[in-house]
Amino acid sequence: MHKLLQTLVMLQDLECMIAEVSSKDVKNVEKKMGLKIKGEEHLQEARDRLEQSLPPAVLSKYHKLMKRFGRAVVPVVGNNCMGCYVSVPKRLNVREIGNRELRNCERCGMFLYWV
Amino acid sequence: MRNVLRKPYSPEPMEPSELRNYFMSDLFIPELKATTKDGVLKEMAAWLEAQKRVFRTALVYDLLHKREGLGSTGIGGGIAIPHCRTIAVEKLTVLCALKRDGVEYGAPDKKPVKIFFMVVAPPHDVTYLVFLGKLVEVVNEKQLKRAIFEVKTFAEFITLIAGAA
Repeated sequence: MHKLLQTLVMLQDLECMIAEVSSKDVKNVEKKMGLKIKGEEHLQEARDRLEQSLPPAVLSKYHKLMKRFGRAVVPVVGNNCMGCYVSVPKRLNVREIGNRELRNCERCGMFLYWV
Repeated sequence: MRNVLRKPYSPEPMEPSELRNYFMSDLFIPELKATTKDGVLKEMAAWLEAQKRVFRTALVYDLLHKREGLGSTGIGGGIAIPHCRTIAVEKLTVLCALKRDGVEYGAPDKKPVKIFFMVVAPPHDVTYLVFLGKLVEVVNEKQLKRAIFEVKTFAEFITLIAGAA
């Protein structure tokens, strides 16, 4: 798997977790489970570290996509980009091949990740 | 398509009978080898990769590790529910694992954890929170908890879950 793609997936997942831990619905379920959440600032620090490890051009594209679509990395499921549902080239539709390089959807521009 | 059209975090309750549909025979570990909290998370994440549910163990392990950093997901009574959302999985995935000797997990009651339910879902999955809520409700039943400690096979496990639901 391409190292930058792995970092981008981790970064987006981390942003999702940061948003979740401050969500009321999540807090309610966690409370029902008897769980307490504290130390959210550590997640922010981890996100900053991940961002710093990305080349400026990739990070800039990531931020642009996040601002426009609310997400920057989307899975490819059943040969379709889950960002805009357009088909991706069939020759890439094997996750070992697709994830070998950092690729963007030709239509929506989002980073593609083969699940 | 039904799920896509539902509003995020829909309050629609999950039917008790639906719970068993999330457990798969290949996502059941009758006895974990790991003896530490981190070891358990790694072994379970690696199992997901081995069963082709995720592409890289690190993607799930890293997130679960960070989630544990916010507070243990041990809910007491020997049960832990490590959970996270990631685009690394295609759909809501539940891995159940047992460790008869128990593992120190930092649970609120300080008891070692013997039953682990790892719940991993993609960001858009609307059943994730409903599922977590229902799972906690079902596994917190004392009789069921005691019975799960004794199971050896997936067939025995799913019979218990189906019976409880």
